[in-house]
Amino acid sequence: MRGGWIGAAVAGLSLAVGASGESGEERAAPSWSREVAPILAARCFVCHGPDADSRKAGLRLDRREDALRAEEGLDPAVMPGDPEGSALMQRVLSDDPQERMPPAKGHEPLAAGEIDVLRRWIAAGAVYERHWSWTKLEEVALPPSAGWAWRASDRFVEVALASEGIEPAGDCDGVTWLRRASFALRGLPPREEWLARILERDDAQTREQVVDEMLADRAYAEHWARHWLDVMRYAETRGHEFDYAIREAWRWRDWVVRALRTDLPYERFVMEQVAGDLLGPRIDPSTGCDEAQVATGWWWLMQASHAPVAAPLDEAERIDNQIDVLGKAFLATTVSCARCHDHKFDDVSQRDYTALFGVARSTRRVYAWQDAHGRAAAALAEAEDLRDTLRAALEVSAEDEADAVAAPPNTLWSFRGDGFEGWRASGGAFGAHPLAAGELLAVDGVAITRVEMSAASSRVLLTRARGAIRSPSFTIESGDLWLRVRGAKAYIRAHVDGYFMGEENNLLFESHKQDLDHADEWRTRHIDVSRYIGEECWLEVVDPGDGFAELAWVASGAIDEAWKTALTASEVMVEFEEHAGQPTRVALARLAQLASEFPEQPVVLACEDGSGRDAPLYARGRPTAAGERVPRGEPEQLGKLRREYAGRAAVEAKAVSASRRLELAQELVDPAHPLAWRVAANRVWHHVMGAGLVATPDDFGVLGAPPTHPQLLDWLACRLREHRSLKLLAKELVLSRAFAQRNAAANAKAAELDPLGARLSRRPVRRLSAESVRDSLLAAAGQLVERDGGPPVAARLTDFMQGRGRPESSGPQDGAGVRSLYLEVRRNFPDPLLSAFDLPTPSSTRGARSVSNVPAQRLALMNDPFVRELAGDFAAWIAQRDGDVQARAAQAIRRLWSRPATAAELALASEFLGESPDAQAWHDWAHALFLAQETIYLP
Amino acid sequence: MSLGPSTDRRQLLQLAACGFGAAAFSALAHARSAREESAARSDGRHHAPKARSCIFLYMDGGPGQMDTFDPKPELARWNGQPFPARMEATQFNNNGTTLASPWEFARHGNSGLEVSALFPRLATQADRLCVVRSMTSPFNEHTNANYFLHTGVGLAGRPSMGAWVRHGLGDMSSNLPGFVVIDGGLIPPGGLECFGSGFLPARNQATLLKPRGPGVSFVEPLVAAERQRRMLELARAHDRALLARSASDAAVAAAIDNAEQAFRMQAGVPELVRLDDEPESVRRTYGCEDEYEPTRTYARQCLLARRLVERGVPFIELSMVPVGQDRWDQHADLEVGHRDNARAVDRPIAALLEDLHQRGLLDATLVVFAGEFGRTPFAQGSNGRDHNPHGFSVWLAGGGVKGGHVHGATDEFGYKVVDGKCELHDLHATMLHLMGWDHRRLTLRFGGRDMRLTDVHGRVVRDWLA
Repeated sequence: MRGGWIGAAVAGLSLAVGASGESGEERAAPSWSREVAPILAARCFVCHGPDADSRKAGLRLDRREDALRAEEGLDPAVMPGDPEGSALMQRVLSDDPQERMPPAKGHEPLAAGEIDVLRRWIAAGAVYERHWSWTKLEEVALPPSAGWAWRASDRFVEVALASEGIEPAGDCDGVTWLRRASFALRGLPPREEWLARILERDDAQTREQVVDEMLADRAYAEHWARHWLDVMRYAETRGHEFDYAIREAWRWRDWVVRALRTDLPYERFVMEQVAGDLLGPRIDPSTGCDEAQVATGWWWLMQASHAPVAAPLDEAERIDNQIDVLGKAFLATTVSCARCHDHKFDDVSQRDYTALFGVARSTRRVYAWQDAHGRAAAALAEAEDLRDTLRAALEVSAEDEADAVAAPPNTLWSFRGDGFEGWRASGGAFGAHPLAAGELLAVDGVAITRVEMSAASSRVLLTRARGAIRSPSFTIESGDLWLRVRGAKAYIRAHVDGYFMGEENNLLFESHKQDLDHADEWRTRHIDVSRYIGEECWLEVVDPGDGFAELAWVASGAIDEAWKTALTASEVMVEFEEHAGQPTRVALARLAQLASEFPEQPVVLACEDGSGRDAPLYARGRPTAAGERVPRGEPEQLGKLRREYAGRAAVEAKAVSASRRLELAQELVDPAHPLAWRVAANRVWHHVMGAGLVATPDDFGVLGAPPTHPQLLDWLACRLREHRSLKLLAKELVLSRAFAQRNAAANAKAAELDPLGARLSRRPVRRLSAESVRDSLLAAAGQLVERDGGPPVAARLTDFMQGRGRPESSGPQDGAGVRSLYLEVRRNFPDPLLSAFDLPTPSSTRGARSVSNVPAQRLALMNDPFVRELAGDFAAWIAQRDGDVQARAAQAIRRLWSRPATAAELALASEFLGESPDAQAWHDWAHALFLAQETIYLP
Repeated sequence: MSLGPSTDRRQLLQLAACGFGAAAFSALAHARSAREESAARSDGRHHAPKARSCIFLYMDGGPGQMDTFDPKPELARWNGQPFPARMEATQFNNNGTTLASPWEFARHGNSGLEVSALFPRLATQADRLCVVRSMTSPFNEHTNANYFLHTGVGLAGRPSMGAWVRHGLGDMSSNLPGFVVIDGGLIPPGGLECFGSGFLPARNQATLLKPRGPGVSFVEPLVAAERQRRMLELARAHDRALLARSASDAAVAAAIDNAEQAFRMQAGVPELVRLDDEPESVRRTYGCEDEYEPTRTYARQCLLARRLVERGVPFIELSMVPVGQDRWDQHADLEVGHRDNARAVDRPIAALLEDLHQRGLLDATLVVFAGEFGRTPFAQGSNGRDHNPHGFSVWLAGGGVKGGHVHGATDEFGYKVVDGKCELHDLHATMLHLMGWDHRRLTLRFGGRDMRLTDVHGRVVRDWLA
């Protein structure tokens, strides 16, 4: 069926392999990266590795100069060329339990194979190399092909198989390929139209066209978004005691879908997530909103507890999770292992961890307002001009001195018109500067008044404008904070050590968030921070919409009672009829119109830079024991490597941010970065092929798996670095011959040499992901509902899902027919069907899911009323087909399994259904097909 | 004929040829024989276990140590007066005066172990209990403390104790899950994640068993048995073709095997839960007929736990029953709340220990009674107690445990440990030791580390061992 494509059999060909590093040479010097380092790391480094605190006997084996140095009176651990003379070998071989390493107590001795690797390594000179993933990413020449390869990437596979003497399995048929490709790219079965085309003409051109259509389909973005959600531990509730909602989380999920759909260049994909709020806007043409800001929402999707007894420890846990996700997602490096001590295995120090800690700590979690097409900003700008017009017309000037001393002596900040005193204004409502007493206001064009008390105000122009002002960070020195405020439908809030759960439940943080509901009265609000002396704090005043907020001053410590007295605000109306007539009225009318037409502004969960603050080294990771401060930024060693590989002083970030998050974002996608491109390329490979070239996609460290095909990985990484396109990379792989191989080994030798398919001589059977199981059943039943993002469909709850925080009622059993991506992800109430099929717990990065096999899966497919109902819908669809029993059965099988039915299958159908089956018989038959393994396994 | 995952493919195909479910309804008999066959460390354990199963009685919310197993007469002297020692930060920070225990303590059994009047029936088992009065936790808040108690880490995402045990056993040829949570109605703060498998394969996660109704999620067939059998036979016929197309792929074969197990669970689980075959005298001893409804529920949980032990299930946890008051978390109304919680569990637990003993099962079963922390010796408000992780009591009984023994001590107020301090990591290490594992070697590599239940901590507490 694919005549002319079959390349020459590879087995027996002798190819110039070159130094690919992928050949099966047995007796040569073992590879440091792939053989020696993993043994030393797993068996020796805990006591003899980079971490000085846990090092025993002063011996360090991770650096050559240390391993070769003789301690006083002792043989050196390693003597290059002389295994017998090396103490390392003597100790691992010793029969004496006192002598043997690793210590007999609690450790297994090294296996004979491990000892052999070490012996050969020392004999060959004990060469240390840089860990493979930290080496320079260099362009790889394409190896020659004897004709087997379809795509460039296949050449690496072809050469490797030839050198290892493994015969490839041969090609699967076109329909098998089509179903694989559709699930790999879209997570759904192929469209009937594609199946018809492949059945009619299966050639390279048809396949490529079909793949292009799949990649253009929204379903591609939805399926790949779910992969990324695993990596960023996406959830819509916080877990812990009451499982509170994470507001606006779904807007970040939709950002991921849009980014993948439009194939946002990978470097921008990374940078926006790390620092989109600092990059400058990228306007989405469909919504007119800034995409870059939404992208930062993932920083805040961690689990969280509402009443931590120790706020600094709680902050440390949150940031630890952010660092863990950041390190694994973009660098596949387990940076968070270095929280308490230098990394045991990888070149990551506690200083590096602390440097990232400083970045995270200088970053704030905020709700930000999107401004579609800049309409809000335009309205505010026009309102500002109109106010200038009025000011000129009425010849009013501010009386600055009126209340210049109207604040208590221990004031931290007071606002008098000349600037925000280091506070940061966001969202527009607070205007360009605070109001000075005597200034003119024409709020919403209703009336003209004069300001009686200097203050930062969110009703400078239009009431419906949204905005916030946020203070610099400060250390709490007194238990009492006082804020002189007035306002309505607005709030003030203190953030201690970044704690934010008070918006759901403020136990232990009782007065930290206070609503403002006194528009006509100035009051002095008290925030009790007495539990948090010495902790870090910042304040915000937020006007989320229809009301307003005004802040005159903030004081700390004891203040006189007089400063706490409430004072009725009195508006000083400005009479204007006599001096200014028409222009004033026109301006007021226009202001009123702007006020009434002021646009809605979606709220997003995002980052904002706070005060830049370096973090101290925490002994054993506990914030109670703080040491020297470390400059915030990228891990030091990675910076050094980037500079070395770039061959230039620095690609240093062009811009500067207080948190250094912007710099970090640019550094993470430096073309010279050794990890970034490899990690991303491997993730694409993992999702298309079913298992990564590096089997541990979140760990490229010494304890992670080494790449099975290092040159192929580097070649793919170089392509990604070149074109930045995840779609192009996926396309390359789906069209590769490696992907289109049969699942069974070509012969006994191939089966023996490649038992798991990791050598790429075959493509093993794959089970569908949890979401694809559910989504494909919906598709077969004709119940799959397309949807363009939006808030999640409420979680379905069964009687077996109990506990605090359980929503009052269950979401719809069928999830309203939407793709599983759009079902609510409640940490404490995971969907029963999806979790049976290995939907991961959203705690940290999960680049590779487990694929388990448990009775709960079968029970769900048999007895979940939802599945039974879908079988009924499928049966109803079948009933509407034309033809006799077998003709209908054939259409059903084609729809469910994306292939023509076989005669044997139709005979089985006849046997089951009889000649004139009733609705129940069809229902049972349809359900039986759901229960067949082909529904969830891809051959 | 064994139908576990180890069944070879030829057998499987023969089975398929015989028709689906040919061996059905004989389900539960297999578990024991399979277990006995695996006596010689092919079961994944590191050494011969003292206890083959563990029943973990989770005392949700944290009972007060000074009200249960750690008598503090000094509190009576200071009752109502300002607490005479330094107070650490508490969850609610609403600390009142010193609060004496409303319950008297008495010595019981040959050992003279002291138990409060909250547990009159459990007191008859005093000589079987090893009470640890010096337990501590690093967390003062329920969810962190719950995750810590269950997984050794204070955040969600790690495998639960039972998941580690299940993982340690590798491929079990049992027809029941290896880790069962018998749900009394109160899922702990922190949710089902307390019983999750974390980064271990999903087969290690807890199966939630309700003591009433069908027992397990989706275990009730939706169509008549005969129809279901036909459906499954048809599916099996299609599966044969798939096996042929995939060179008998191991994953597909295992999934087919699984279908057989699931099919049998439909009959086996409800049979297990029904308790009809238990003599009335047994049911009454446990409290299944008690006038107090929460006691009846907990009695069914305890009885089910015994039945699971009999069937070789290695790890069983019981969650608490709702008693109208809160779980053991008495921030107010200590007297009413503790009384009701104790009333719910006292008789069933005493009956469980006695019944296991009489059946010769207690020697091979570890029973652990623990909350996530204890309570303060000073009042919260006027008549409650706040959380106290600085010193609290747990007990162990059964296989390999020294009965009638007290380990460690708190200060004169029962506030902080002064002697024999233990961490929950030590409890985990000792539990695993009794069940046949070295906690340092029961690991799984994940995220660049060899993960274990005890992280980098934990020691086996020899003083608890018989």
